[in-house]
Amino acid sequence: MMNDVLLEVVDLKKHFREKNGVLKAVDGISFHIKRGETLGLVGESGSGKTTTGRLILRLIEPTAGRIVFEGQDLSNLKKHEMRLVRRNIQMIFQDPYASLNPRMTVREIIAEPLIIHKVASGKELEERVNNLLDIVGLHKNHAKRLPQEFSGGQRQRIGIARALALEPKLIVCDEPISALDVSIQAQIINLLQDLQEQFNLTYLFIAHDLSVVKHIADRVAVMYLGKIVEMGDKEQIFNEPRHPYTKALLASVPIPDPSQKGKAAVLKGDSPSPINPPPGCRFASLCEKAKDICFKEEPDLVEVKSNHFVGCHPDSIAND
Amino acid sequence: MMTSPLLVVKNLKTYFFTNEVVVKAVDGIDFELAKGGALGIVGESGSGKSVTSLSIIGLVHSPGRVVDGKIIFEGRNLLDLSEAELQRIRGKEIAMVFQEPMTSLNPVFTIGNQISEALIIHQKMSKKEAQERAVELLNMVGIPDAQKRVNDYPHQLSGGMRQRVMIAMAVSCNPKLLIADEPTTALDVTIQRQILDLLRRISEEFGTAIMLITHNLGIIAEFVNQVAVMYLGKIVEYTDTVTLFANPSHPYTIGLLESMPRLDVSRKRLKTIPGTVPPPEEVPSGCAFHPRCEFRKEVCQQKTPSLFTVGDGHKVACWKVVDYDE
Repeated sequence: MMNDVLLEVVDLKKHFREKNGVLKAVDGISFHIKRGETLGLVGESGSGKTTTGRLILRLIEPTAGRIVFEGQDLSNLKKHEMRLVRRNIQMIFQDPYASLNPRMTVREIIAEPLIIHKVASGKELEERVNNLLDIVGLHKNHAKRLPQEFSGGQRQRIGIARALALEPKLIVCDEPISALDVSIQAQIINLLQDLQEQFNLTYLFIAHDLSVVKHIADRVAVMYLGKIVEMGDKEQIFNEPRHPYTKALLASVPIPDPSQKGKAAVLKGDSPSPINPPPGCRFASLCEKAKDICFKEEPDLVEVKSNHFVGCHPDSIAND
Repeated sequence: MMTSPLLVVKNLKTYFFTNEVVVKAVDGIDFELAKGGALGIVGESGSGKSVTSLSIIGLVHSPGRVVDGKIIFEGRNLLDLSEAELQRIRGKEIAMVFQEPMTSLNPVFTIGNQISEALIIHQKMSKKEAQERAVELLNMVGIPDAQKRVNDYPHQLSGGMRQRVMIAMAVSCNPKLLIADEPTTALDVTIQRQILDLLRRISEEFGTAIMLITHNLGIIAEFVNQVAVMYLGKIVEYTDTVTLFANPSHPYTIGLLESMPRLDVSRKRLKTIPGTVPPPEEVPSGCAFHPRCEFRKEVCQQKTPSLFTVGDGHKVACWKVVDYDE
């Protein structure tokens, strides 16, 4: 059923003009997210994963492509029309120290979206804020305080309460736990999972930490220098990765088990610059499997199995 | 034959004296590091892991001060040395790699100049010799085109390359001890793997002992053979790496291991350590972990447990392991 799809992104591009060329931060990516699902978007710095999240909220304007939310193309909406849509799409940011206004009390932070969208006022507003605090595991006495009085984990709870205030359908979570202490990360992951179940939320979960994505996502898209190189169900990506970059990424993660000691580095050297990226496959210069064609033609994402997409020439040649 | 360890830290206390409060950042810790060994110090923010390394290298600044203990390096207590004597050791015998390669490198000097500096000071090399040695070192740490890159400024390099330069500087005088404080935290995971490999290679080739400070238990498992887990200024568990993962015994260590999402294990729901690390000026009484501990007893609020030996070289600071009751 088509309306199972909450968000569809089609050939999305974001290019920035730099003084020494064009930075193709996001360069023609397509994916969809179903209602109630979590899509993990993984990649290293420069992959374009954060830019993708910002494009979906139209915090920055796309260079090309379509963003379709509940059947409506967001790319052509006027500002005030977009504002209405944003009730349904919210964001949780990486840095809970930078993303909360230090001069606003917790109550003001959480109430702000409700006031702007004229959802509640007076006593009802008060109750909504208290209820949101309760939902994210904070106490209503916390409402009077300023963000600086809270630890990182508690601040992230405040950010989550703010994101939930308008009862959105989709939440873009941009590295929501990477700034937190290890012992706090699990608390926030569990909270996000509980909220998803309780409110039937859909997540775009952007992260560089593959262990976290494996835990929380249903499907995963792997980005490299502005492109999706592999996408599939979580099991496909983690158990049967096909793209050489996905494999390298997975092999690089240190495993907390001393019996698995001593893996050697899989990638030799740095990634090419996303400014004026090389022709062909962007991973070719680091790829052990690279053939001539990889340096000339950009590979398309090919569906190699049901719902499993891989953009790699050697992979398609081997499986022809 | 037991050889004497390279580094012995005894009852080290480093306090910070701020307006009215004394922050006991490091509060009486003991550990040893063998020649050529690899020790990991794990902890979260406020654990004191970074202050520990700064104490060893003599870089604790006011309002902080080492107030007690001994840091015995090759038989000499570093705390008894004059600043001039310490300078002969720092950078030469003990070197350090920091987390943020961009802020640890000087932006207005070429990387060649920065590597040369220690060689000129400690090895009495001429400028030219030092520059040649810098190229060799850059080659060794895997910087391509080193002959040319030696004249680059830090901003011309990627994060991974900058960290390689930091490592080249640190090992330039062939130190006996290399302290690496979160050396890969700012880096991508594929680059992290390369840097860890480089550190391992250096340790094996030159017999350099490594003290690795990290919050990442995966890195601990792969890289070091001895671990100290720190919480609020104290070591709560101290053992070899295999034992730490096979038989973690402090509730905090257990909690950390169980709360981590893992690539190699699927978990339906993560276990959590309740609460949060308190600010350092509000360290709880008794065992500092007790408000977050599911095993806490009466005694835990009142008395601080010392490190009890529970197995061969395995020490745990927890009342649970000694069946304390009153």
